[in-house]
Amino acid sequence: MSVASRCLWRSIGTFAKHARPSRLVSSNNNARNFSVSSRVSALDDHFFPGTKCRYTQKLEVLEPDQKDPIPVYRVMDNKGNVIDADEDPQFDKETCLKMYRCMTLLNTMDRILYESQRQGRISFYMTNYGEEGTQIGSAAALDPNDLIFAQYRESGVLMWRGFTLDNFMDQCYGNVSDVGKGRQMPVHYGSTDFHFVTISSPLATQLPQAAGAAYAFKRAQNGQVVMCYFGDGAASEGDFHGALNFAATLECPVIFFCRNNGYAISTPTHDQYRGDGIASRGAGYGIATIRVDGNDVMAVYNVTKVARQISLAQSRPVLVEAMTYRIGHHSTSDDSSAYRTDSEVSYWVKEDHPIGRLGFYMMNRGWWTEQDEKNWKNESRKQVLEAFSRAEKKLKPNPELMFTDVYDEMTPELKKQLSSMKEHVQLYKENYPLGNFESMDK
Amino acid sequence: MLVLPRSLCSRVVTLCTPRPFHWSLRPIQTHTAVTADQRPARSTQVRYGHRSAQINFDTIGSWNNRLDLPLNLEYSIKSGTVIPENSLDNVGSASLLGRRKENEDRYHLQELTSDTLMVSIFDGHGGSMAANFTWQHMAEHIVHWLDSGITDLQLVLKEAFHDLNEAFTRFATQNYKGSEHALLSGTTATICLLRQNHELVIGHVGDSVAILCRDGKAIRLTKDHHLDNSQEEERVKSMGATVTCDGQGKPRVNGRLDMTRSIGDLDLKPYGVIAEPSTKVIKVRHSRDAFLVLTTDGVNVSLTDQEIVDIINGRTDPEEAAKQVTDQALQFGSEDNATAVVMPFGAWGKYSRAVSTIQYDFGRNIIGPRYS
Repeated sequence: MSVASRCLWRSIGTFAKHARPSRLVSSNNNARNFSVSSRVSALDDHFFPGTKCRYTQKLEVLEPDQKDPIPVYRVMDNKGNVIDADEDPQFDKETCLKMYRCMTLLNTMDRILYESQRQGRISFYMTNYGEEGTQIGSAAALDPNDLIFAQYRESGVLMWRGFTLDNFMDQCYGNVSDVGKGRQMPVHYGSTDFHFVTISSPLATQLPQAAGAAYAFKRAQNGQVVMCYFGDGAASEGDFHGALNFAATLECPVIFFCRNNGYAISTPTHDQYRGDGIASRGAGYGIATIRVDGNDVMAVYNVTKVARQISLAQSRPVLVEAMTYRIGHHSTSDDSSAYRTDSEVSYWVKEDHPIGRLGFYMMNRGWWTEQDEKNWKNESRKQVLEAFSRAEKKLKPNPELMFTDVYDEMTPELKKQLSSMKEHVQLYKENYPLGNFESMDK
Repeated sequence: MLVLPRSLCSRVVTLCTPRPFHWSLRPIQTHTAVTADQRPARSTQVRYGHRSAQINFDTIGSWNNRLDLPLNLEYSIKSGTVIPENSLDNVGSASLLGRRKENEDRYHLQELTSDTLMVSIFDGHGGSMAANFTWQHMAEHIVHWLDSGITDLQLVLKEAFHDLNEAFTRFATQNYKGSEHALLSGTTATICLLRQNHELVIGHVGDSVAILCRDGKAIRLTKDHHLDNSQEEERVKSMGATVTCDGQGKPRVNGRLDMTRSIGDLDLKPYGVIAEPSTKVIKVRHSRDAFLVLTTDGVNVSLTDQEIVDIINGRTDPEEAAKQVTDQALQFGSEDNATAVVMPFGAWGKYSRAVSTIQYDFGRNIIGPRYS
C-alpha cells in the first residue's frame, strides 16, 4: 500500500470514530456503537423518537460560538511547502504537471473568453479565477464515471475530464458543434460523455437533483457516487435543505461540495449566513463533514478522495466546504469593485493563489522552471486562441432547432410557431444575419 | 441613540442563560451619529476598488450595433488577448467645404505595410499647396523609415515629418521661386499609425485633433500647437518671433499664423514654427475603445470632444458617423472646412445607448441614435 493510500485510510479511520454508524460499516464499528448506546441508555430507559439524547436538570442555552470553528485542512502552506509529509498525496511528476497545466489553461481560457465578451463576441461569461485549485483538486480525486452536478463555476472539472478547448468555445459561441445546439447561454456546459449534467441558471436546482440521482445510484449499486458542487449563496436556498435532508435520510452516496468563495454575486458571506460557514450545518443534518483549504489543490484532492470513500463504502452523503476566494467578478454582468476593495482582491492574487501554490511546490521539486512557465504560457495562449478562432468561424445552428428536443414529437402549437417563425424570417430576411446560420429546411 | 444600557442588557439575559447573548452586546445601529469606536468594520467609510465611471450595465452583455470584426489570430497570440482584424474598409470619412471658397482639408488612409495602417488628416492654410504636397507624399516618407528597420514608430514619424518638410521646402523654393504663395502655404498634419491592430501611435503638428473613445468618454490624444500653450509660446518667442493678437484677440506668430508648429509656412520656420511632431503611443483596448476620430479645427471650433464622441456613438456606421459630425459642426456655426475620419475599434457601437437622451445647452440638442 502506498504512502498516499495509507494516509487516506488513516483519515477514514479518524472519521469513522465520529461518524454515525450505518448498515455498511464493519463489525468493529458496530461494537463501538453498542457500547455507546448502552452507556446512554443507562441514564434512562428510552429516547424520544429519532434521538439519543439524555435528560438534564441544568438549563443551558447552546451558543453558536461555544465550539471553536471547524478547522481548515491543508497540506501546503502559501509557498508550496508541504507542512506534514504524511499528508502529501505523493503525486508523480506527470500528474502534478497535468494538474498545473489544466489550472493554467483554464486561467488562460478565462482571460480570452472574458475579453471576447467585452468585445461583444459572446454574450456572457463567468471566470474561474482563484478557484482553479478547488476545481482541479476535486475533479482529480473522483472516478471519471462519477456523475457531476455543477453550479456554473466548475469549468475546470470538465476540463480535467477531457472536455476540449473546442468543446468549451463551441458552447460559448453556440455554434453548430455545440452539443446544446446553441440554445443555452455561454458557460452552461453539459456533457453526456463526461457525466456532467448541463448547468442550470436558476440557482441550487442541482442539489435535490443530485440527491435523487445518488439515490438511484445506490439502488443500482453501480459503484459510483454523485458529486454536487454549489456556492455559499446557493446554500441559503430552500433546495439546499431539502437536498441535504433527503440525502441524509435516504443515505445517498453523494458529495455535497461547497465552494465557499466569500461572495454570492455582491453578497459577502457575513450577509449570507451567521454561524460557522456551511460546514457547521453538516452535523445538523447528520452528514459527515470536512472543511478544506480550496486554494490547496492537494488538500482538496485528499479530502475529496476521503469523501468519496466514505460516501461509497458507507452509502451516505458527505459535505465538503472548500474555503476559497473568487478573484474575478461574479460574471460579465457584475462589477465587483462596487462591493470590495482592490487590496482585498490583491491579497488573494499575490499571497494565496492556487496556481501559485502548486507552482511553488513543483519548482521546489525541480519539476518546473521559469522557462517552462514561459513556454507553457505561450503554448496555452496559442491553443486557446486557435480554438477560439475555429469556433468563431463556425456557423450557428439551424434556427428550427429552437423548437426541437422538448417533446419527442412536436406538438401542434410548436409546429404552428415553427412555421410562423419561418414565414417571418423569410419575409424580413434582410434584417436577419441568416448568412451566419445553417440554412433552414424549406 | 437606541443603545440598550449594558446593565439592563445583561440583567435581561441572565434570566435565561449563564452567558449573555452574543448579539445583545452589539449596540443597535441607528441613523444618528455613531462614535468612532462603535462603528462597524464595514461602514460606509470603506473605500471600494476603483470602479469604472458610470458603468452602463446595459452594455455589459453583447450589443446589436457592433461590427463583426474577425479575430486576427497572429496578433492575438502575440499579445495574449483578443485582437480583431482592423481594415481600412471600415473607416468612415467626410469632408465639407463649409462657408469657404476652397476646401483645404485633406485626409489619407493607407495600408503602409502588412501590419501597419495609416490614418491621417491635414488642414491647409494659405492655399492648399502644402496640404496637397503633404497629403500626397507623407505616406512614402513613413514607409521609407519603416523599411529602414526602425521599430519605434514615434521615431519613424519624427523622421518622416522632418523629411517631408525638407522635401516640401525644396519643392516650393525650386518650383515657385520668390512666390509669396509658396512661402505662406502651410498645413497641419495628424498621423495615426496602427500596428498589429493594437499599437496606436500618433504624431502631429498644428491643431488637427485625434480623439479616442474609451468607455464612451472622449480622450484627446493630441495637444494643439497653439500660442495658448505657454511652452509653445515661450519656444517661438525664444526664436525671435513676436506674438500679436489679431482683430478677434487671437494670438498669432508674427501677426500671421495661429499655430506654433506646421509643415510649410517657410517664412516662419526661422521663428520656431517647426515641423517636429509631438508623438504619443497608446495601446488600443478593443473591449473598451469604440473608435478613433480625427477632425480638423473646422469641427472642433463648434463641437466639444464629448459631443463629437456622442454623435459618433449614436450612429451605426462609421461613414454615416463622420458625415454627421461634419454636418453638425456646420449646423453649430462653424465657418471653416470640416473634416472627420472615423476608425472603428472592437467596442464599436457599445456606447450607443448612453447617448440616447443627451441634452446639451439650450439649442444644442443632438439627435439620439437611430436603431436600424
